[in-house]
Amino acid sequence: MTDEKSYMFNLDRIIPDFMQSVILFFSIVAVYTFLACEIPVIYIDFFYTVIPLILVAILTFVRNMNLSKIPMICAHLLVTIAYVVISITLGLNSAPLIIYTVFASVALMVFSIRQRISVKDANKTKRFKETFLILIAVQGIALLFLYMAKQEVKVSQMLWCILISISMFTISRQLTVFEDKYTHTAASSSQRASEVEKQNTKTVLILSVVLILALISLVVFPFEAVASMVILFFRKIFHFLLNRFFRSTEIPDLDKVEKQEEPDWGEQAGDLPQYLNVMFFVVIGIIVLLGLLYVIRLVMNSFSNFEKSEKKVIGDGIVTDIIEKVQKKKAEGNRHLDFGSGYEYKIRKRYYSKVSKAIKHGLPIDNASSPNEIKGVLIDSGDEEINELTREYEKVRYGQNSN
Amino acid sequence: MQIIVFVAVILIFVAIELLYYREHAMDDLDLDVSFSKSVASYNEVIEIIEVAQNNKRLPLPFLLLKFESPTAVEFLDMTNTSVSDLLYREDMLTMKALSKHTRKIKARCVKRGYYSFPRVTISSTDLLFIEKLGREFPNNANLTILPQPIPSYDINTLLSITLSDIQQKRTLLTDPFSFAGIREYQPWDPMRSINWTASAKAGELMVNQQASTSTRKVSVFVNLEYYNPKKSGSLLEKSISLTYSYICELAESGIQMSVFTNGKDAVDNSTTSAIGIASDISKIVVDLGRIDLTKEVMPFDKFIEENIDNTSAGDYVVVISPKNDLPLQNTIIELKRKRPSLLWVMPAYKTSLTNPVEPELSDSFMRWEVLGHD
Repeated sequence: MTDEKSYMFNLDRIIPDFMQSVILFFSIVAVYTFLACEIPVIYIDFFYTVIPLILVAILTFVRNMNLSKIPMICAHLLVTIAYVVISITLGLNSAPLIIYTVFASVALMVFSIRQRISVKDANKTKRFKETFLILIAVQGIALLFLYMAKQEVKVSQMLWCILISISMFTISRQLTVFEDKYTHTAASSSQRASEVEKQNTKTVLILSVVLILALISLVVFPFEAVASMVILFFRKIFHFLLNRFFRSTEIPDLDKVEKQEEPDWGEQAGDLPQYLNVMFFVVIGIIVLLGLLYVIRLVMNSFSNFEKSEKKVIGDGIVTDIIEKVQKKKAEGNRHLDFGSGYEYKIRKRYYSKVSKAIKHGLPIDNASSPNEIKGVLIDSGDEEINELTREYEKVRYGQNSN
Repeated sequence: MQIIVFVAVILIFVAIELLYYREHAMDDLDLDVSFSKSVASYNEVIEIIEVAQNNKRLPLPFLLLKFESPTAVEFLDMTNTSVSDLLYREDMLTMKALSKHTRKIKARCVKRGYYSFPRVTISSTDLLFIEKLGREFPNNANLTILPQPIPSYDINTLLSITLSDIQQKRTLLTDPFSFAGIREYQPWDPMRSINWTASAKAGELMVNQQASTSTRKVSVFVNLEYYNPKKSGSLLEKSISLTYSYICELAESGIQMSVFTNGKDAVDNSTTSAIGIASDISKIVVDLGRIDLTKEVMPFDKFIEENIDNTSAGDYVVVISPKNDLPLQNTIIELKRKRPSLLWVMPAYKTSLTNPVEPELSDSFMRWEVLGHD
């Protein structure tokens, strides 16, 4: 899968390739935005900074064509020059726009050529992970600088660039990690790597949906309002308990109690410590995420209920694979387990838990195994306390006469 | 703020996923690696069956199943197999939730013996391919590969000697199942023995002639002691193959036999001694397949002493032994004195130098030449 010919027009490779290019592009935007703060004369609106995404897509396409080295470099040069000329012709002809267009185009072209040349690098995933950290660091530094320079609008824009970069890295990693880590197995003709890749695709889809919904929720979810309400609620409970249990025990004469003016919780709620804000955002984010996962699961279960039982037979005569669904083993029901009481309960419950866990981990224990046989199996697996436990168990379970 | 929340949520999601998979990924997994049959003939193509079943709703991206296979079982598909003293096989199976993946791989049996898969190792990862998870499963699959058969034409001489000794025309009672020829009708021949087809061809009445077979048994003693200082085993394998082919032919001829070898069983370490009726030699051939030549054998003279009483005086005794030194020949001579109908078959290479045969054994000796060398 890593040789040049088979690499070409591989849809599985183009999508992560494009995503990695977008991450680089956002770093270019971050650098340019940072420079524009220092050199205001080159400043351009954010909308214009993202136009070269078109070039990112075209260069991804060119990079994945079946061309040898020299024609590929020429194609890159041609496309980049054409893009710059067309951009200037179509109206991006002010000095800052031209500077930015040239800057971004050259950077993207160099990256694209380098990506194409290193196609045979077996450690692409690791290398891109390291590169990603550098790119995200660049964006993070730019964000920090813009935050310190109180450029609120640009901070918000840079923030979204970073969030999208993180999302794209997560998805592109998931798309390529199987092939990169298990190259020789994936390439083998007798291994059903396509089935594994199908499963990985499902994981990628779920991951993508979760990330997209998380990003959307960052925009639409009223974090501050909800946080304020929740904090208000807990503050009221806290003060109520404080008044109830820690003030004087003298029962006040309700008629004589002066009505004290209640503080305006709404105003105070706005002045929350930063860490509290973060904590509540995280909690709410998790709740939203879990809720979404539950909904997704419900939807998928409803589809699976209508699926016919599947049995696939794939084979070439020498190696045959049969993949089929199985029914879930029914649980033994709410069987009442009587462990006795007191010390007997404690020992028998402990023994039962230990043996159940061992069975669950696949140790060769069945219903007919005696305590001594179970002891032998657990000792072989490295359990040192089973000796003593078995002795105690036999005493309590089988009475005083047991050996 | 949002970025911190976003990153924190992703990290928490990843951490929960990792912890959950670390704890539960290997639960409720059933695994089995077995052979399609427990006894296979030499050069037969069998199947190695790998079954992995995930009984829980938690899917695994895949399951890498690794096991060691003996080189005696040659996979027809050698991809994902490393070859050294054993064949190390690695197969990738899908492991969706509540699913079962069965893989059958054809393999050819190329060497006699008893083989097993004692354990199987599996490895997998979490859904995000971050952490590798592994576990070892005990397994209990075994296979006995029968000896390589010798072509019939190569053992014709031995068979004809055996059969001619067993079939005798010295009794009045004939064996209705043994056909000795056709002759002209004589007045005392019963009508039922007339062969009408032969009569039509000959133009006169012809009758079937039956041979007289006394019920005799063949006892085969196989000596698996080393025959040279190099402790070579190739002629010992040939001896086992010869025994196997010989008793198969005897069984086809309806002759009862018993087999005694001083070779040790691969499983229970016992010496092989079995009696087979003509219609069922399955136990004998499996015992021959399970002989482990790496184990020390009982000295042949002691072995004969222990087992001679399991044979009858009228038995036709065949001794198969590539070893031919003087002590062995003396043992065979002693045996011949107790069992006069005896034949010593000595497998040897054409170029092998052997000791001269004692005069007492010269008429009961057969050198069975084998192609190749040690």
